[in-house]
Amino acid sequence: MLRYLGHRLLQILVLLFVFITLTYFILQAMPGDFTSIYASNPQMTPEMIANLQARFGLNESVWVQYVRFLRNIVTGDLGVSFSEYPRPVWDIIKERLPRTFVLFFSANIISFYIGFWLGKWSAWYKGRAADKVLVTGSISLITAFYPLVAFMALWVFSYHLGWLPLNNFVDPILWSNAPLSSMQVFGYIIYAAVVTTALLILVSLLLRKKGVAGAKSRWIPPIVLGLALLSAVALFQRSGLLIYVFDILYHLLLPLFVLTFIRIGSSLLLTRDAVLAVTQEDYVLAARARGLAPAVIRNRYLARNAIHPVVTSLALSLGESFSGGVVTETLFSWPGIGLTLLRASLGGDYPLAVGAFIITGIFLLLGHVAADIATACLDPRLRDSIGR
Amino acid sequence: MNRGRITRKSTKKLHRTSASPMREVWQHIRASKTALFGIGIILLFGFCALIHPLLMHTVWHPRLYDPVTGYDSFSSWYALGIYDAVHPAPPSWYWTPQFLSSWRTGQISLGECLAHIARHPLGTDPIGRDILSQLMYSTRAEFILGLLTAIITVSIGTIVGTAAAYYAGWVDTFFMRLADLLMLFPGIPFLIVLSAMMDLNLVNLAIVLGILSGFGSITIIIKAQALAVKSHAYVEAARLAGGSRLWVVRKHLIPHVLPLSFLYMLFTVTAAIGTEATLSFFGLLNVGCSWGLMIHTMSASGYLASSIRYWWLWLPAGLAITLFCAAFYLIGRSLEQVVHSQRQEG
Amino acid sequence: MALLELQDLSLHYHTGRGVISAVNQLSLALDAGESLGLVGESGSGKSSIAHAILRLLPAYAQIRQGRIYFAGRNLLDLTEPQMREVRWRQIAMVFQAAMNTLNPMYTVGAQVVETILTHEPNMSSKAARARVEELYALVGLPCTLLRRYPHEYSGGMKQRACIALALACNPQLIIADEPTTALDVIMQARILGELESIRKERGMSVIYISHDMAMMAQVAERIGVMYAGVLVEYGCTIDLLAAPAHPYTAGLLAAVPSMADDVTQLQEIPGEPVDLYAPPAGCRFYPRCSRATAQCKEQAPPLLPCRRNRDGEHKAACWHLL
Ligand SMILES: Nc1ncnc2c1ncn2[C@@H]1O[C@H](COP(=O)(O)OP(=O)(O)OP(=O)(O)O)[C@@H](O)[C@H]1O
Ligand SMILES: [Mg+2]
Repeated sequence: MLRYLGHRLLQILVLLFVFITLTYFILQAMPGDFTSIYASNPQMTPEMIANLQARFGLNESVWVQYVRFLRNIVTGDLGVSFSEYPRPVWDIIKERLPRTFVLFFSANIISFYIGFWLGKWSAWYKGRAADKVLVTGSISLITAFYPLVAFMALWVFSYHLGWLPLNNFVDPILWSNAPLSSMQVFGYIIYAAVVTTALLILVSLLLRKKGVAGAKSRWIPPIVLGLALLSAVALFQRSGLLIYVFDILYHLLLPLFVLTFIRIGSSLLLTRDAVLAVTQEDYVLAARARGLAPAVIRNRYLARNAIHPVVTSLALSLGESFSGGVVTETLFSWPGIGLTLLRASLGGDYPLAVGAFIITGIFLLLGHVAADIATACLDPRLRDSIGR
Repeated sequence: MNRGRITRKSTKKLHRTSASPMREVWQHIRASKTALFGIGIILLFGFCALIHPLLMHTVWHPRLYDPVTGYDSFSSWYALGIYDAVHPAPPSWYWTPQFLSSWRTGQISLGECLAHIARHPLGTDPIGRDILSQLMYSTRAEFILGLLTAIITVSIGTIVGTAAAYYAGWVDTFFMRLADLLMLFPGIPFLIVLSAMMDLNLVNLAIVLGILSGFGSITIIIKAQALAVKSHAYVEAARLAGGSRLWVVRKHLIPHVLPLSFLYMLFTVTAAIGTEATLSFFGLLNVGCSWGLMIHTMSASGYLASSIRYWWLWLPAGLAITLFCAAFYLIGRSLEQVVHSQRQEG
Repeated sequence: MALLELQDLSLHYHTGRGVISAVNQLSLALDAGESLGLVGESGSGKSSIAHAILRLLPAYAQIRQGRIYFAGRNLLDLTEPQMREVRWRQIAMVFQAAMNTLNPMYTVGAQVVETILTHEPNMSSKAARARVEELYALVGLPCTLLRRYPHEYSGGMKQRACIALALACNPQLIIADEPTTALDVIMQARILGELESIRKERGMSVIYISHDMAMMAQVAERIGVMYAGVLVEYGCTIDLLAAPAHPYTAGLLAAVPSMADDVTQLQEIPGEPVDLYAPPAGCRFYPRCSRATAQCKEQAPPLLPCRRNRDGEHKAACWHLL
């Protein structure tokens, strides 16, 4: 196990190194540097530009620049943003990353949960009307032009019905005299979510270990969840932050809903195909022969054996969410890493764009690793091959 | 239990008797309703792409109908008492009652009346260009982009994948590591960064997309298939019988890998069109006209808030993107089954 | 009254390429405590019958006619929940592909316990586990294997685990579809011996399915010979082996090597197996039969008692009995 992890870690580091190098040189190969943006600016004299180039070391050889770039990255220094000068890039990314993460993490988890559940039933009732509706719906969701769907949702819920806020992360008027910054409040929300999730996992692990079966224990996790949420609300209420917390969540709702909705299609189809493939297996027939209840066959045989590609895909799409996020974040003006990337690219904020891009790549890599690990943990056959 | 075994046995027999795996794929396409539906849609789009230049040369005057520079001043309608036609104008059949009454009063002939009704069947955009013309004109670009990307992707993927499988050793190692690396390149962010640095047009886009997925994920998929075929005894037999390496690759590996390549070609088209639409939608792509750009024009001119009233600004383009992607996706999905059953036999 | 009685069963598979007539007008009876062997070459419909009895056929299989009586009830009339009660509790099965009949995601022990608890919900899980350990001892597997996953079992171990699983709920009937194909000869003899002694002890019935005449001779009290979905001969093992009445049975027996015979004398049955998409109208065996006549080509022979017949049970379907 340790050897596997060590090997894997080395692989990741090498990949990361090559990725960063490649990114650097691809971008280097592009004509001009960022100072060319100012070339047409009449207020910039050639001396000023040369001065600027010297300040950023752009007149040195490519290799010297490259080595410095690498050294800075290793020390966590991604440079200084141009557009928000003199804010360090890392500072900006640190602020935006959690927003993207929360949005996409919840959207992915919810949509895969729903998609898996629907896909299971769709495969179970293969060929019936409900199945056909679900499959047609999924294909439409997969092929629909996402920005358009998002626009429609914005239009319906925000303009037409006026239920949800139009855009943005928070309501600026409300926050003008808030005791804390939105980033801090957001941090608290994340803490609350993490603690609740950990508690929930702990409780269900304990329940499983104790082997408490039956109808009663089924209600314990929801009760724990409810209590945790209630106490979080009470805490926020006492510190006077509740209204701000609600404001953030309120702004989260629409992008979360649209993102979840659009992703259900692919996870549904994926699950359905996987379950149908498992249906062909001998052990499913044998399970039926043993007179096991349909629910047992559906959950412990079909769904359990079909879970592998679904979890892999979930891990990959979690990794991808930082890159796929550009569209969503732009459409909903959600100031996460994707929107940062787009704005930085459009505005010629070269260090910020590269920084955001590298972060995106790192998360993609983490997604791949998570997919591998999940695969290995879920299948006893593979679990062994790693253990040795 | 027997089920799996027996059906597999019988498909195997089918596989051996049919001349080539690709022919089996064609047979399946002909038999599948969804695939035929997809082909129908593609043919329809193809028809649009072909007929657009014809229309431009015959009935559509370029000054009015050019998808990029056209402009209709509607002055000929003033004489008919229609003054409320301003860009973005709704479809011209909107004013059908007025045209009909002008015809009845003898102001215009029946032919003219019909021509007026069909003047802008899908209306005009905020700067006065005909939506239908733009829609049809873009089809060609979408075809070029989709097919070019698919061909680049799949040629690279097929050649590199089979080579990696056949030669193994360092060739394999090199290309597999390269694939791992390229899969790390987040598609849309990468293109966004690129578009900031260079002028991204359709051909550039196709090449970048083709290289990224051709050397990336497609290579890995094709290699797995080629490995399965390779281990199949008859390839070995052909090698022992003295066929040259290249001959073996051409004669045995490629034909059995081709159906899978074809499948991924279809999926690549869907992905490429989606990417193009997204980038144009943000206005990051240097194209004269495309479906994504049409929607970009709408949102950039501020018609989003009243999008239901101005439905012709986004609905035709949005539907075109969705349908076009769906067509390729549907064919791909219906083929997936055959190709995977072939793959199992390997 | 017979425990299991198949009456006039016909079974078709509707596949993409046509309709397979897998079982044709088959009638068969089995008493409680009796063991029956079904023999026939590959594709003769043996497993299809087993699946039909447990109602496990895929949706595209169709039972056009016939009844399957088990303990006085027609299984074909039962609802799905009723059928679930019958499955394993009353009729258990050892599947042909023992390799793949266990869920790879759970330990084998968990699967046996799951099966027992499904049918005896009032049993404590501790008692169920004790029962499983007994079963494992019975089939000669160490109890430590219970906590292992199926992929950690060898082929023979899996087969024995499947036999243990089949015994788990004390069924009245076990259908053993090639239960010992993955085992070596010694293991095969041992397992079959144990299965037989359990059967006699508990008064169970067993249907053995195999293409191995020699094995059948060891365990089955009666033998049914199938050819292309048709029961061509049925009788007491001793009678049938001593004096086969159907040319196909005779051919099968001639193809079995025995220690005494000269190996060079082994005969095989000439001709191709029947194409079940378009079976011959008359006797399904006639294209390969040396005694075929015009009558065989046109009329299917009924299963009738043979001439040399001690108990009136020995029947064969042939116009020209041996
Ligand atoms: N699920 C199925 N779908 C289509 N055809 C089937 C299916 N199962 C069986 N058949 C066909 O029915 C016929 C009888 O098959 P069956 O499995 O009952 O034979 P068998 O006697 O058990 O053979 P074996 O000794 O090889 O196990 C065969 O021709 C087979 O092709
Ligand atoms: Mg069988």
